[in-house]
Amino acid sequence: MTDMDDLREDRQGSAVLSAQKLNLYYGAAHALKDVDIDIQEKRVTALIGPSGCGKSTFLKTLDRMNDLVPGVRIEGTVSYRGQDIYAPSVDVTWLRRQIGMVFQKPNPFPMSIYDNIAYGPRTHGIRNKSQLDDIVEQSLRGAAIWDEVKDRLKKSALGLSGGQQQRICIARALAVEPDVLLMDEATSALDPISTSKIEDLISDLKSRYTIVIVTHNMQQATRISDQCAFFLLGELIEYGNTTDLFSVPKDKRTEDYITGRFG
Amino acid sequence: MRKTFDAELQELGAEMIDMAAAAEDAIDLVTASLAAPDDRQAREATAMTQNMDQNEREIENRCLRLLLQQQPVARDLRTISAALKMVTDLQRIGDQCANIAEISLLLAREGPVPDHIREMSRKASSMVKRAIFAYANREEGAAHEVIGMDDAVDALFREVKGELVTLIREDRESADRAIDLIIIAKYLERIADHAVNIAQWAIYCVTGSIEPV
Repeated sequence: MTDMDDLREDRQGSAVLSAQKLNLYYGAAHALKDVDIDIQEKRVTALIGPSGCGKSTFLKTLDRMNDLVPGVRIEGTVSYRGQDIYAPSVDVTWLRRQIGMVFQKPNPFPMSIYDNIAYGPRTHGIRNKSQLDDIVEQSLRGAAIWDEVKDRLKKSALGLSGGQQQRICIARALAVEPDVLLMDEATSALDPISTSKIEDLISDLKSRYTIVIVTHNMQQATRISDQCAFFLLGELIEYGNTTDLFSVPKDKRTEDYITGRFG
Repeated sequence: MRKTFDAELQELGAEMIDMAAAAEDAIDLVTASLAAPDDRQAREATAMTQNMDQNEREIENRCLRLLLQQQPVARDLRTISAALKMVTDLQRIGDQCANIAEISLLLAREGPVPDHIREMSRKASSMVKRAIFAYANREEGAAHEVIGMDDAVDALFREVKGELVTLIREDRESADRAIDLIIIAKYLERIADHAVNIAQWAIYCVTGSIEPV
């Protein structure tokens, strides 16, 4: 094992993102209540809970996607590798390069597959053709879709199936070499085969990225996440090892939700 | 919510208790027939275990269907997976009781069964009952008691073995009988082991962890 491997080994499991006493208000509505959580490096963390529990809101606070929502007020801190991401000095473009997001509905840009992937790197100033070619290939390989699209890179991304489009979106997120990937119900619009491809992909990606997913699919959370957080009415009720949480939940509300007896 | 599933789980619980009751009855019959050999009791024990085979299949089918249809987690998963494992222990207890009943009928003509074997039978019987109580009431304490009782049965088995070796040495004519008796003692020792397994699954139902043996 090299020194570098040692370093990676050490860092695996340490907190990349951390929220402390995080409160979020949409006007008068109190959407997140005193959330304290450490998101661990190179692990898949699943956020689960009923609709309106705050899990997507929480995910969006991690890359400041709530900033543009009118009437939002945030208290407490969210730090990324020790730095408060809501500090005035933070460059949001820099932050979102570190922390990529994949949404529920595949949203490729209306341009070629190649240009979809090259879009981010070009924004960050990369113009060299062979460098861009490399990034496009590596990103598409990373998202397990290279073989399916390598002969049609100049064709529109909109001509692909939903599952392929979603992997293009993942490749697009990977192209700027982020540190963290956030996925908001990234498979809920996909058929079972596309879903299992993305699940396999997530398991592969976690050796290199820290991944946070929001999912309504309990079986998916058990299959692919290492850590799991259960939210209810804006509160983080329980957070821990996924196998433990789904075998012996500590809180009755968690048990009622995951066993389908909530409400 | 999940009314159908809850009803199914209740039925599963009831089937498990029925089968456990049959196992208790079987070991009671065996204990009685070892104390005072009785053809009728031995035949009853055999018939009872045939029903248990049928119960085992029904419970297994229900558990497998619930795993497929309901994809249970947490307490539900523990209940169903514990039932799936325990049902085998209950069925084995039944089988072993039937085997003991069969042998004890042959032995009865040759005099009483040694005290230590009867004591093993009483102890194994109370372990089975206590384990079933622990499962039915999700009583971790009772389950640990059962696990603690196993050493006494193992010790009795070793004593019985020693006594029977002496018997064979001293009286070669008794070898056949001694072998039958050691088989009975071994079955009883196994029944106590199954009671320990049941107790461990009762603990798993409560805590979610499988205790080392």
